[in-house]
Amino acid sequence: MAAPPSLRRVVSALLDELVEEILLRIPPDDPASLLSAALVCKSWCRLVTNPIFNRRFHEHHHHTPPLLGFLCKFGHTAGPFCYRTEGAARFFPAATTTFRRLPRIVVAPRWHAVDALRGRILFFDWATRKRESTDLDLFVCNPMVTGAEVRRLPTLVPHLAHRWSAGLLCAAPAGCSDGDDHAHADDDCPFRVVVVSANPATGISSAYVYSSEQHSWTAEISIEHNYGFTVPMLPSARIGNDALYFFSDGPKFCCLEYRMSTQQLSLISLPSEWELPS
Amino acid sequence: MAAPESGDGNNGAARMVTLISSDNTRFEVEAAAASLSQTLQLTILDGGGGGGDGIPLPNVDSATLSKVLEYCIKHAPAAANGGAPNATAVDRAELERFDNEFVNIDQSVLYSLIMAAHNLEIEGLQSLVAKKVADMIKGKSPMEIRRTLGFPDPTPEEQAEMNAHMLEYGWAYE
Repeated sequence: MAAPPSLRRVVSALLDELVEEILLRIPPDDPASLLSAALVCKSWCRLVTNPIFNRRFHEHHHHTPPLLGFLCKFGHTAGPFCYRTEGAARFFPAATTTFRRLPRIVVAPRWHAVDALRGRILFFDWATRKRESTDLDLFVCNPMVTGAEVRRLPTLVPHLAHRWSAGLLCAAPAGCSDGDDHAHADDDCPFRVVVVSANPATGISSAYVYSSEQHSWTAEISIEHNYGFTVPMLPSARIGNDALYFFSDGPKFCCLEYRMSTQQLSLISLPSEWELPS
Repeated sequence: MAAPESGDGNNGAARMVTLISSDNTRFEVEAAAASLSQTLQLTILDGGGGGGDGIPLPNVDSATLSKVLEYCIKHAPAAANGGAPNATAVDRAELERFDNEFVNIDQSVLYSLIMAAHNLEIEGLQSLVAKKVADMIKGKSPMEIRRTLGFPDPTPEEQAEMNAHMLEYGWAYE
């Protein structure tokens, strides 16, 4: 059997550039193929894991936000933001980044991803939760950054620490529009963390806002609505990098909205016909 | 495609240039088509390639050059329109069909095209061929990619390293 024509013989080693052109064209939604390519040989691996390739890959696929990686929870299937003790969130960086440079702590068994925004991930370490206190410790990490460090947010003491949800927003001066796919590869892009909790006993819902520039919880916004619901630990929905929406858990079918532009928390009642049968 | 020398190319509606492959075959094409190559464009703008001189391309053999020129001739009208803002959907579909057919070729020709498109700096062709090879990689395991692209079999050390990676990232193929 004749040997297949060899790409390597034709495209000699000095033309990594050409291999790069090829690998850039692997679809962004197909991280497995890029991963395979990285395992083909050492020079391909160097190429794919190079931050310059990373950046070019983002640029090349500028219409499609790249799949940076995915979070996977082993164990129970209570959603990505699971609070069962056996579950463990794992982040698998895909496609465009170095494959094995996650801070070890992030893959600790009791770390759970709460939210992710353009490469940056908000974690909650279930191990830090204590029955007797309401302290809430959150962590932010950007695995897109080589040698990423984990930022521990100052401890937050919400009114009802065991029932909360949180989300990330980008606070870059120009803002992040939906068409803007920049992954925060430099990690100096400012961001906000919004934690929302509701106390069914008082009928008060609160939002706490963390500012990355000031490295502190800069705002607490409370609204009184007299609906006895709590905010379950479910992922929030983000719209246009301004508004975050949080589920409510109670007899009233509604959700909480936080808007960065107005810095307001609002309660939105939802049509009752959508309510789940009780 | 190989054309005999045909005198002064500066006359007539379209300026012609002569390209000479590494195996000394002469190709006569419209300057507009050859100018899809950034490299050739500079020479042509300098007035080269006309008449009996010809532009020698010592890195491109005649089989590859004829393929390259087939691409350039097809794409020249659209390129002349500045990316063809007024191209109809039919024209675009036709070019797309042509492109798909064009890269449906023997791998050895495909690889020669990569080099030629790179040397001649023909952006569209580079992109087209790279995409084709990327499609060949898609959905394959590292070993399959190596075989598809004709890499030699890995050394035992390389194999061991690949196995270790597969152990860690095997889920990606499930």
